[in-house]
Amino acid sequence: MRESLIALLIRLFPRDFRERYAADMRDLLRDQLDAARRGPAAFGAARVWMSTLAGLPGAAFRAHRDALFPQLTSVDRTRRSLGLEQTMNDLRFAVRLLRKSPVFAVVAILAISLGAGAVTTIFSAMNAMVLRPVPGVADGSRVVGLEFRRRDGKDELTGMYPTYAFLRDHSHTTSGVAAWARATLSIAATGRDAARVVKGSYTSGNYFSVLGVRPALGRFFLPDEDRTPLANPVIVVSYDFWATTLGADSSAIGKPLSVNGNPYTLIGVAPEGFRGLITLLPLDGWIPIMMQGQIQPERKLESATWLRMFARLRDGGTAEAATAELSTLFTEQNQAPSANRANRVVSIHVSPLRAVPEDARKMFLGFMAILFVAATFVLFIASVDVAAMLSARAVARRREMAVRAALGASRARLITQLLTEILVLFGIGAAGAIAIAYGATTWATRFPLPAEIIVPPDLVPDGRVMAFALLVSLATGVVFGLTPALRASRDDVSARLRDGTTGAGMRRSRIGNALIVGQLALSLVLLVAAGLFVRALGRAASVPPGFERSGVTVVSFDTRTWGYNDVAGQRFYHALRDRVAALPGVTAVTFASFAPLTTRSLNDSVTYASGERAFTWYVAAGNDYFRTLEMPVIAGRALGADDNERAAPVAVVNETFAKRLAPNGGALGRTFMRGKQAVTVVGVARDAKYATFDEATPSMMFLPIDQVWQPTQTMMVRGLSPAQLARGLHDAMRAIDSKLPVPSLMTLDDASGINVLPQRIALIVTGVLGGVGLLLSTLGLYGVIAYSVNQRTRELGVRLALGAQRATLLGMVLADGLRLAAVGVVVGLAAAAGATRVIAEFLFDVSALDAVTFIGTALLLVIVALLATYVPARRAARLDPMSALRSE
Amino acid sequence: MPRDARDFLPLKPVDLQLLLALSEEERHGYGLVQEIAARTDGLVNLDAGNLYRVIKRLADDGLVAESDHRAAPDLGNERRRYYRLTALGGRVLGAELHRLRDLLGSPAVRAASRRFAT
Repeated sequence: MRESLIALLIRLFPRDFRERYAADMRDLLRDQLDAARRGPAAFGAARVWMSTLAGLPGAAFRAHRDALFPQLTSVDRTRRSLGLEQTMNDLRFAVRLLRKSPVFAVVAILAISLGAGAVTTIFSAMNAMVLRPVPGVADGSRVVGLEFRRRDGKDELTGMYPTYAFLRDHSHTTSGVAAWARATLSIAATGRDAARVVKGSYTSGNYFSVLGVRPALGRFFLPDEDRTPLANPVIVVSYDFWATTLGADSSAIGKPLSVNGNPYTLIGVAPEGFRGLITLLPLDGWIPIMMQGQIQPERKLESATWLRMFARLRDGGTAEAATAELSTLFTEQNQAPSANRANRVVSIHVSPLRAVPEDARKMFLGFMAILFVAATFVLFIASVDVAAMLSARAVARRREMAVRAALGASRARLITQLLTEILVLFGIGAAGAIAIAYGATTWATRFPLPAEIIVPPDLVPDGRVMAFALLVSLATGVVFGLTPALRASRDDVSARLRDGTTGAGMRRSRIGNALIVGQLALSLVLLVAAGLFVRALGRAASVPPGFERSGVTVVSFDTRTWGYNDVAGQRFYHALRDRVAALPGVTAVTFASFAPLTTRSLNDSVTYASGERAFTWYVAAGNDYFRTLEMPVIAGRALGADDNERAAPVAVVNETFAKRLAPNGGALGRTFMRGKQAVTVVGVARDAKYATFDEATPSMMFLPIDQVWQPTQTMMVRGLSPAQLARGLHDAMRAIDSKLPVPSLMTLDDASGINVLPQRIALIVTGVLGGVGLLLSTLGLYGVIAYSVNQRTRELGVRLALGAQRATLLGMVLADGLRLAAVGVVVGLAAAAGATRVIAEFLFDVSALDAVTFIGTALLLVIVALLATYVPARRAARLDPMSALRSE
Repeated sequence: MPRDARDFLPLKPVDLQLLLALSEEERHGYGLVQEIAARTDGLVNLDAGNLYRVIKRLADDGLVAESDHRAAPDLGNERRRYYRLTALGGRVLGAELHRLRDLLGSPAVRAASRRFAT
């Protein structure tokens, strides 16, 4: 955390400075910390942290200044430009002014920070997942991904090995075609017992050279290491893996590592930050494609369509030329006699290599675009607040401006001065925004997610994000600050000097009112969205799944990653079942291809008795599956331990399946065809939800897991929480094979949380944004009403003196505020009705115009508006008429 | 063309301290911070950011340079970069010390230090 904060602050320095000194600065800090910890002083380390953290931003600023104005450094220090001098004066004056009105400064800076921070946070996430270039890749714009266009116009991202080899050997428009595919690797330093299961990749010999990535240590693959199947068991690991699992030991190069139970040699370490090409899939290990047969013998190297490919364009070569050449080569190869059977793919297209595949990118960008728009609402709301405050200040400072103008300051000079003040304010706000984005993204990476979701390694803001925050803040500063600045500088000098008042008779402008209404309306839209997500989550939680979700712990295994063959895998699962079942507190344990309600499904072709053929969902389920999940079997029997590979094929089916098989009842004992195999129905289970909360109940069959072998299985245990099971599971696995890594455990509730993950994220984002928006627009409303009460002090005093009741005054001001709130609510409801259509698909069955949400949110807004107006209204009612009349 | 050492005068206090610390021996970052803090009784305590900013400025002006020297391997910190005084840096330091000696020797300074002695 603190290290990354230092890294963040170091990014503030100019690039050439960083490149030269970043490592030295970290070393120095480390030395100081070491010394402080050994030293006698209390909190010595904390003091070093504080002084470093406090010193870095200022030093960074000065380093930028040194770089921009070298004439201000040691040599020629006397030659300063007048313009700079003036700017510095303006800056100093602006800072002094802000210090003189701390409440204004703090509120304004806070508002800007919140608004710009919201936008920056979302941008930061988008940046990390989509925009950021792949780190470590040289001249990335020349690296292109290959897509295989099918006859039907769709693109596939993977191709066959022979295609890769042919393109690699014959392409001239590119300087290299490389290929890779995802692999799950279980890596252990030999001699140490625990293996680490990581995401890895089968990699062509030229993978790293085509990318232009250089090793941090050792070397990468040689082209010859990827020519002969199973000949070169060598591995490259990520810097992160080397630093954490291998203890950053540089002598590890050349030493053996165990990969999925096989001996490999570690030949190199990838540079820090390089984790493969897909941000959402950070890799830790790379092995040659030719080793694939050892890790995944069931996949045929030559005939499977499994490799992603990319290429580097030659200097001067274009994507069009590459597309044309690769397509021609592809056609040529697939007509040659030695080529594989005809393929549906008709041409190859190249496009810039992206960190997120095209299909996922569109969906993700759509989702993020919604959040981004929501964040800009908050920025707008905050900006309006600040603009209102600046306006009020501008009015109060008219006299000062007039004096300056009278003393000879040009209008341009005055505007520059005012703009400097605004930019200082918004510049500090930008720093706050970056801090907020930093905090929010750091928190987001710790957000507990189901294991299936891959978290991007680094959401935290980089230079691009900081530049964005600064740009957004300064741009809003200019847009929302310029109007008051212009107005303040436009005044007639002599009139203003004669007039002693600070702008009596200033009334709330129509634009001001419109902005307040806009603020309230936008907050309402955000809150309605948040409310709808709350309702959707409630709906999802209240859907009865048809089994008992709570009280079950799930753990997933993949015996292949341990180098186990099918026999060893099955032996492991059986042994583990027996050991876990014997643990005290366990009431039932079972294995299945996956846990229910985790969005996963398998299907297979089934021929029903009527001759109807359809793809039908199935789950591979072990002994005690129904007892563990408390899913009722309403006829026949459940699956048992005797339903193994030697017994006749059987299935338990759900009611929907049973009706389809035998519409008039009596499905029990009937057979149906699964592929070419006759399967007998031995039980009927009650219909339930299987993959998602909002699915229509499908036909479902439960097949004995020993009859449809799966190397990947999920254990489900009823009776023990993950924490209670952890120790026993650890011991059980160690007793079976001491080298096995213990996977992570979670409750079935958490595992099925993946179903509602978009809703939960959206709820958090819209909820936080809606809350902040409400706070800021309330502040705006309060400010406007308080200001108008202030301006009308005299009028109110006269009214009181003439006998107006205090309650009447109270009501008058309250009505003033409520009128604005009411218009805001009406506009907001209309806008929300339009806007929620965008999120309708995320709401399960809740209507996008859900009355409860709309009415409730509107009420909330009115109540908050009342509270905001009440404070100034009470002040108006408590006015002392005499002093009010005297007041000017 | 060698620049005139006097172009750099007067030196900023921190620049003077840094050049002084390097005049005895080549040092790395932490060594410099320690030496300067000790020499000024802790008055000048540089943080990482400001130390390297000053180093960069002095390096750009040609007063200090990176050294080829590396720590003994048994200290395990062969990565540390060491800095040394350049010939120009030495001349500037000499000129500044000369200037300060003249200053301290001037009648005005002697009179002032007698009057305001603590």
